Amino acid sequence: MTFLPLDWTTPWTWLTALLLVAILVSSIWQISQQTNLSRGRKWGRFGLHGLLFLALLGLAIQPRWRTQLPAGRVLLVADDVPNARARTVQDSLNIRETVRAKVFRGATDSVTLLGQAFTDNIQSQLARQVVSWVPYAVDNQLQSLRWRGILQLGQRQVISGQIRVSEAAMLRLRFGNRTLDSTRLGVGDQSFTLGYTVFAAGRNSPTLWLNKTLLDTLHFVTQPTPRLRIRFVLTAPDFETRTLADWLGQQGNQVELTNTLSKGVGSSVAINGTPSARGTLPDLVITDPANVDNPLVRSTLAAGKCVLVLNLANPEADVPTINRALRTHWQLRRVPGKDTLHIGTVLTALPYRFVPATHILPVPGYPVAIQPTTGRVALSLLTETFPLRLGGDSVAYNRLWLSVLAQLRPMSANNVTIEAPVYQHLPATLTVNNPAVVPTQLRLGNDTILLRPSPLNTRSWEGTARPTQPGWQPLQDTSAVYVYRSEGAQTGAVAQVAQRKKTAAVARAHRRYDTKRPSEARFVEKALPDWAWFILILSVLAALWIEPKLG
Amino acid sequence: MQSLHQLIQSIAAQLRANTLIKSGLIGLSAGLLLAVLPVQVGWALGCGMLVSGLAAWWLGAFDQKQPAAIALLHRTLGETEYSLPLLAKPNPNMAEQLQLDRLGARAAQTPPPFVAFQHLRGYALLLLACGAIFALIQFKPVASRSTTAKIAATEDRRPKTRDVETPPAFRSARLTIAPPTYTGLPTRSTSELNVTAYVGSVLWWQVQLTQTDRVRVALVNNRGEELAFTRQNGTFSYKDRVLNSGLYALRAYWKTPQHRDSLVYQSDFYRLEAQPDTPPIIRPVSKELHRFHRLGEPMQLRVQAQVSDDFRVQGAFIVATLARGSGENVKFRESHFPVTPPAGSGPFTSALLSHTLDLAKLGFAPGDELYYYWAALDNRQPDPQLTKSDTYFVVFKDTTKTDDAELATMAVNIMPEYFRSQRQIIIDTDKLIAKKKRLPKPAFNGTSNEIGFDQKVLRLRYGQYLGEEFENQIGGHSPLADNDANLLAGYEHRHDVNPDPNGEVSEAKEEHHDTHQAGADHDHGDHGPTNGQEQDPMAALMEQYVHNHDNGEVNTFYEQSTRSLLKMALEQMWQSELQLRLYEPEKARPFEQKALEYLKLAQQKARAYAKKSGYDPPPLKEKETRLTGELKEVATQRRLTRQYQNVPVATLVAEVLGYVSLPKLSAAQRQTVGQLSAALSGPLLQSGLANWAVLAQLQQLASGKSLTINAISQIQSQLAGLVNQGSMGNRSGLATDKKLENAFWQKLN
Repeated sequence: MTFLPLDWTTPWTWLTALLLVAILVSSIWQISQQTNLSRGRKWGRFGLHGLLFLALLGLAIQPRWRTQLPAGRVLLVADDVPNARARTVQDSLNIRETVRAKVFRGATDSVTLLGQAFTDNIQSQLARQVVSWVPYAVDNQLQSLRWRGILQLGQRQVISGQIRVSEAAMLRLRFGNRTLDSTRLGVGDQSFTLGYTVFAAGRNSPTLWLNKTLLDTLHFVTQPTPRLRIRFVLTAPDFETRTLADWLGQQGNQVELTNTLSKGVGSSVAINGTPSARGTLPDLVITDPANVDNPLVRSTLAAGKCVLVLNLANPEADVPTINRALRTHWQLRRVPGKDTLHIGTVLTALPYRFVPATHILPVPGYPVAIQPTTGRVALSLLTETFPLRLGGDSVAYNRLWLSVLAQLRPMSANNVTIEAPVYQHLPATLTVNNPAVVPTQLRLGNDTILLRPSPLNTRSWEGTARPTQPGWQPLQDTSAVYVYRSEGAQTGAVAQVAQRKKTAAVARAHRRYDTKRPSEARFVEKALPDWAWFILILSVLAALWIEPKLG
Repeated sequence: MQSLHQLIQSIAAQLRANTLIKSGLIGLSAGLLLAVLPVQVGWALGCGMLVSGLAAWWLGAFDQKQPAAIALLHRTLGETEYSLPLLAKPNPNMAEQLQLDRLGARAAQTPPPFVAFQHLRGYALLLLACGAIFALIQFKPVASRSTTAKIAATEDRRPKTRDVETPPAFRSARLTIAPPTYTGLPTRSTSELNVTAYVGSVLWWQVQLTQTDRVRVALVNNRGEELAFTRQNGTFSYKDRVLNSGLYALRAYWKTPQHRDSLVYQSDFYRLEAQPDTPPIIRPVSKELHRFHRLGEPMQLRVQAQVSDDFRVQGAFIVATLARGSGENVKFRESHFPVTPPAGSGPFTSALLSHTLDLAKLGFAPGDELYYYWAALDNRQPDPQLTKSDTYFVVFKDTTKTDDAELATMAVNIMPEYFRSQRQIIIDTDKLIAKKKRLPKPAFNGTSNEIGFDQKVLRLRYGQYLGEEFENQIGGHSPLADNDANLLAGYEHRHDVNPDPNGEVSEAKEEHHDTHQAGADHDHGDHGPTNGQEQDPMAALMEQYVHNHDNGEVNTFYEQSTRSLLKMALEQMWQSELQLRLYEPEKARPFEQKALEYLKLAQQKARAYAKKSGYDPPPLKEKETRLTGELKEVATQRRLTRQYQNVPVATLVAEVLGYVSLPKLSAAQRQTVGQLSAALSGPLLQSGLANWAVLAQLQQLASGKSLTINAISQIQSQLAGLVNQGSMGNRSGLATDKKLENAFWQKLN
């Protein structure tokens, strides 16, 4: 037991000491003066007064107790881990001592963590120990969760993670009251992947539900897609291309449709903008096999832009032409015994299929495929799509061409990617891809992130952010990143994942300590809390007040 | 000396007074602050005094002020040389006495410093601040007060002229709904501004504002179009008739003293639902639309119907039409019979009406038809609604006439002419052969026989083209006619008999028979028509003049070769039928095939080829002449520019979805929300009332109000249905080194 060192230079100490002595002396004197008391009562009263004196003395000098910390290995069990599990782990790891997180004061050598719900305070106490970690998956609690923090409108957001469920359940991703995607989870540890095409610009906050319980809100930002400059290179206009040009214009893209009517005679239609100057290349050229030799098509492709070839009439003759002109390697195989292939009720396609190859990326659901070369070349085997639009099925028409266009968008500049969730005070890696100018720093909230070139990709720059403020943090004025709280009392699945992440980080960081270090005895000091003193003094005073009335 | 003492006393008193004043100020401030809270005056006073006391104690009002006064004198009197403590000395020595005298003389000359009100500025400011807070809260503008009673009180307390600078505030709105008089519904007045009213109701809005000067109130629809209210003695009112459903809001504008219009009040959007008056409903008791009336049945027809309306049925009647005659000579006569409810005449809500149609009076006679329907008018004004029931038919059976069709169905079962093609017979035979192993013998034989029958029918059919209308003519002779004695004579080789008058015929038959085996190149035609005609020179003579219709061989106009082909086909059919009837379809198969070939040959032979006549242009030299025309008058470049102003709804929705959850929207964002709301208002209003909530919420957002969490979630789910959710996948990944990427894709091949 140690005491608080007393400062005898101040008058307060003296005063207190005097007061204490006065209390002691006066009470002894008073009791000894009273003659009508029996001997027993007298001693009792002495005892009580002595106790009061001791209590007051204790309050003044604040005694502390020194306890030795447990040596050897300790199993530190998180509060949400059931006893049975703790016992099993203890037996299998052959650890003698088990401590619950809430009563943990410190340990000497090595600590084995079981579970992940450890407060920052506990984690900071493990700085000098060897830490190993046995994870424990609490039922209906996420073990990991990840999605994309920033993406473009129309891109697919994929949410993947791991969860342990006690009974079969539905995991739903909802936007408002509308379910975007759902998956059925069996019993036990389950990995899941949910995805949907993002449709809301700006800040998106869909929610993740396990059956009827809200797990958490997932925040991310969607950036608008830049409008495309599209050029049609065709000999003569036909209804198919005109309809497509109109539709592209209605979507807000800048479209230019040029037709050669005769030698030196042509007409051009510019939608949403003036005709472009000669030098500028479009983002996408739409052409037919007869025009793939056109210098504009070749130069566009050479500049890394995209080309879409449609309106094939005779694939067997057209494909070699395209291959020769655009240096592609398309191969088609005829579907025997058919003149046309029906896709859905209205769409028809040529009776050919793409010979699958590693360098051919099909557009799912449609006989259209993409081949990346210097740029990207798309080949459509669809014969006519405008009946869809004329027939009033604009939804199907939109879906078809949006799916194709999605693959043909140019790489946008200044792509910032960050893996969500981003936690307060935890490092997060930001990547800037395809920047317009070589970036050196990036502003996230009030922090400045220094960027360094990525070792793998010459067009990428990376930086590590460690945001300090929770909530939406502006990123470079145009975008934002949502920072989840990772400290203090917080609820929600994302916070639990953060907890787990932190625990894993602690375990990883403290593995490297030498396990054969000689153990030194460590102690912790503990004082009685103030409320205990208060209760003690109050109860002694109460006893002193009651004691004369007992007689 | 004495003056010095007095001076010190006076200053000390002043200092004490100063502290007391300060503490008083503090106390007063505290009291004012406390008075802001809803406590009694006594409490505020008491606390103020308590605080004053505490402040006085803290500021040292009860301390000895002499030292402070002396210190002050040291600073202000000049040349005191810090010698004033000498006054307290009981026995001053000479030098000290001198100094005191000198100071006394000086003090007598100088006026005593005035320090009672020094350093009071801070405390005064504190009091002022507290006073301001008190005043601000106590005399706050009327609009922020919740209860109307209080508003009235404050209104009365203050003269109106004081309010010139404060903008008017909304006080109340009342809506009076007067349904059309014909409905008989009472006029109701409500403060709930979401209305459901019958079409034609008169709505009367009355809006009260705290001020009426320079104020304009308007009714706004969801497209922002306004209708102005009129002002009548202190209230603004607007009256109109309901025709259609829609959304509306109330707005008030105020012309500020600076002559600027400002929107001082904008209500939420309310629903205005126009409920149409339903037309009368007629439920006839009889469900049978057609009935026959027969002779001898009573000529009174009693009909009943339940007629009802949501308000009143003005009148009901039966319209009966009598149709008489047949063919083109049909006459119609229409008559109206008003029907009244049994209780008495006059409008009614619902009644079981009955009427007796006197058929005799109508002149209903056998063969006539009577059509009648119920009709009812309701009491809607200005034009009532008419409902008609189904039309009922009463047909008077005329038993004197019989129908031809009836006769026909009695005796003969008329079936469509039905026979199979040769190709079909081949297919059937193939099927039968294929199934031979599985079928039991009787079934197989039966089917084979049936195909044989089909073959026969087909043969007869083709035979008709060759003039073989009757079976006895088949083959160009009539076996029954001339072979009474010997039916088989035509099919026998009877070399041993003498030639009889019909000998040539049998010869011919033999020859004919041979050709069956010989094949196709035999000419059938040369012996048919001249059969046995030579005996009668008269007949031979006549032949030149008569038109011999009864000979099929002569009168079927086919070329010889076509006819021979057809005949050969018929021969094959004969054979095939024979084999089929012998239950040997395999053997019949080649004959069938052959018959088909002949038939096809005959068909193709009958086709004519006509060569096109006309101008045959010389071939164009396309490569040389293409795109080389004269282009002097032709505009070389035609340029068109088009601009799509309307942003697609999907894009607007996508943008708005990003804003919805924001606590506050910027002006540009509000404008986008407004655009979306305008774009959606048409389709959504048409699609039903369920979507009104979304429109109303969008309007709220557009007007800068924030939504509740529930509303946000609702609007998100509704809007999510309107975006392009189609596109599958996207170009993913990151931009990399062009060269490297290109090399990768090239090497992958």
